[in-house]
Amino acid sequence: MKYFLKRILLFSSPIILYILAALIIDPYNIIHKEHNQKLIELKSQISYKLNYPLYKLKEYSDNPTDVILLGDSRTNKLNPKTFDQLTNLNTTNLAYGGGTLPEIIETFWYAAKIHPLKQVYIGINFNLYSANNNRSRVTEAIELKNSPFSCLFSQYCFKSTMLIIASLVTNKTINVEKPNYNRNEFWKYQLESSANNFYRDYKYPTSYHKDLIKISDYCKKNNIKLIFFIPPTHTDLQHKVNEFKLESSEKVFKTDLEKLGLFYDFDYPNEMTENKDNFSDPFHYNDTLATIVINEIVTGNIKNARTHN
Amino acid sequence: MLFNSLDFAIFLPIVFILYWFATKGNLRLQNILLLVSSYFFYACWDWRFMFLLIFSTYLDYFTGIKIFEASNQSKKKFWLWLSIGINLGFLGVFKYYNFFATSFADGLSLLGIKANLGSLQVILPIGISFYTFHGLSYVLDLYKNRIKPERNFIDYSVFVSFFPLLVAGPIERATHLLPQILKKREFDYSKAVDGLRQILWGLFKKIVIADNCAEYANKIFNNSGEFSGSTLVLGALFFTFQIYCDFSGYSDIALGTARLFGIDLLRNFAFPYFSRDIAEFWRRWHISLSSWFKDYLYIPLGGSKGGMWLKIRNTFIIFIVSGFWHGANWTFIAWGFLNALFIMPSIILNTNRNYLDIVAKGKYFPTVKEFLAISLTFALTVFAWIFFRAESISHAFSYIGGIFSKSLFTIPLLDLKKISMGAEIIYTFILILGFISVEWLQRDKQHALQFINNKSIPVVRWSIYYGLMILIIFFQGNQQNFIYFQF
Repeated sequence: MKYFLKRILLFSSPIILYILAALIIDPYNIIHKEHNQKLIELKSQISYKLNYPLYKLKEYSDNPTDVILLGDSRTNKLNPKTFDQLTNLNTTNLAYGGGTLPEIIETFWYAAKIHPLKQVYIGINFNLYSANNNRSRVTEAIELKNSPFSCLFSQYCFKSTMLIIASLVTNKTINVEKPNYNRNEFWKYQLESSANNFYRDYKYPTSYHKDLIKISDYCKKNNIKLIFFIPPTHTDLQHKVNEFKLESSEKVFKTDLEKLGLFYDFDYPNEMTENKDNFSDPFHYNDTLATIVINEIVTGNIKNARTHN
Repeated sequence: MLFNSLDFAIFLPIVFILYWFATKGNLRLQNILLLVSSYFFYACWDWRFMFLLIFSTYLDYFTGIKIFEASNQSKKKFWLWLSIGINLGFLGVFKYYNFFATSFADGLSLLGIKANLGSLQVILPIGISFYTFHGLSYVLDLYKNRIKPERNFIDYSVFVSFFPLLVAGPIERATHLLPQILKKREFDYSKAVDGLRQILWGLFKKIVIADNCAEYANKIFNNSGEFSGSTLVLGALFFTFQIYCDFSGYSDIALGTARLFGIDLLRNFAFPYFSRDIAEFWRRWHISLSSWFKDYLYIPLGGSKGGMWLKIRNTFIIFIVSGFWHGANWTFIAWGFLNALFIMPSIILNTNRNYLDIVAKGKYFPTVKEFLAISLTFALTVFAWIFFRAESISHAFSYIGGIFSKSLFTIPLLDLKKISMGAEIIYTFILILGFISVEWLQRDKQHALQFINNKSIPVVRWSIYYGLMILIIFFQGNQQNFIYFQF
């Protein structure tokens, strides 16, 4: 019996060491708030990139704010500090790279449950507005956030802990994102692969539309300022809508958003969206456009956005 | 308390340490500890139904003694039928009342009579089908003079409520489990280590294979109208692996856990998807239930004696009852009926006991004939699972109709994109293939990790254990309840 227990202990020692390391590092701050500057930096570089929703939702539940931003990587580009300055309220950006409509909807209700909201900015592009773009990482993130045990034995916590230890040992932050492509190649890839994947099997999101109506009704009832905006994309990508003969669906999409709350559309052919220099790839605008978007949607002082379909 | 939860990860080591250390080998104390922990384990689900469990246990304990002490056959019969009546009465109320009420009302409406028998808003007490069958086997064995009654209520209660088997079996027999509960148990190193291996394999099956397959099977079955025939086939295949890995994974964890306490439970699965005909499949799938029905229903009905028609009738009865045991839905009855139909050729041709050995024993690959037989049996099983998984009979038929359409021969790339963003589905395919290969290579063992014995090189052994744990961490699916908890 004693031999059995000794063997179990020996066998479990790497697991115990991992548990201790994961508890001390706590990559997603599930157990304690991080004060060590070096670890804060590493977590924002490693843990954040391994699971955006888990990292952001945990941060938000620790420090809820009156203003939230929801959307995908394009909304993620918007700096919450600029919102803070313009609104005089605290803002959290709860948009995730690769975000989807169900993730936006789920995140909204999660945030609304935690803290009374005053302003909500939702950035949705047409490619997100499809019933077939239905992945949601938020459900899993909320489950992990609420269950330290599951979080401890999740691949995200395991990978983050290991990579943070490796970074601490080598004194070099390990990059968890894919290496950068050549700009032209990536531009082509985004148009020919990513865009095609989005539009090839487009389906009107009836149920998600109903969910957005519920959000809109909730905001009206609770005096929450709800702003929908369509972030700018390059005209190369805009043309894809015509290529897949989805013009009428896109029109329905814009009309739907217009009916739900305040509405700003930056995604139409104009000087700004025709200029390749304003974009890193057909989907993603640069900081200059980000500043324009923030100024117009927060102040309502329109120079570039369209407010009617 | 799920086997794959933090609660259980804390509960099990505590009970294990107390069992072997605090009781100092005292059998009485060990059994009391097992009973208290089993009731605690059950109360974690819903403490209110503990009273039902205790009542059901006491009923069989009491009627068991009465059957044994009865001075004549009619008194024995009276106590037996009292126990059967009350046990099945509980099952009837908690599990089947709503089904009978709605089916009866539907039947009357066909005759133009409107009837509303109302429905009961009751939760199904977890494990009721399993512990009821434990108790029934005990009183039936007593009635047949196969055993003597257990007069110690604590020992008898451990037989009914032993926590590894309490909520989803295996369905134990008093002849097998009670003697182990009454005998002094010594710690057996090899048994305990092998128990841990079996638990690890069970966790892998449940968390990695079943939970990942569940995600795709649910998406496809819940939106079956949207998918091509080829995707619907994939959905049925995903469910086939989900249900096997879910239930056999649970059984592996239960058997492994029991072995940590020095107790051997009945084997429940013996690599059923490598069966060469449906008769062999049913000797390898949910063995404790199949043998229960064989011993307590099929044989008392006359079994295979009394001519072909009786044999056919009895076969249909046990398969339909077995289907109905799974749940109060026509889909389970249809599933049972289909299996009875599939086994008929073997029954009629008297070939149902042709395959009692292990397929391709000692060889890496089966012969072409064996391969074709396995494939056909597997295909029939997959087909029957559609009824088991469908929400209703009409859903099952529309699902099958969807399969046998022109789109059966399309490559479901777009559909796959709909159900899985990224490469997750590819990983699941690879994991299933790896899993099948391991199970195939270990088909002559009790469980797939039994090939590792204490004499093999420690580095290799431990690498396999750690490898499996890493696979569990990296490829775990979204946690799902064990399917058989609902039965």
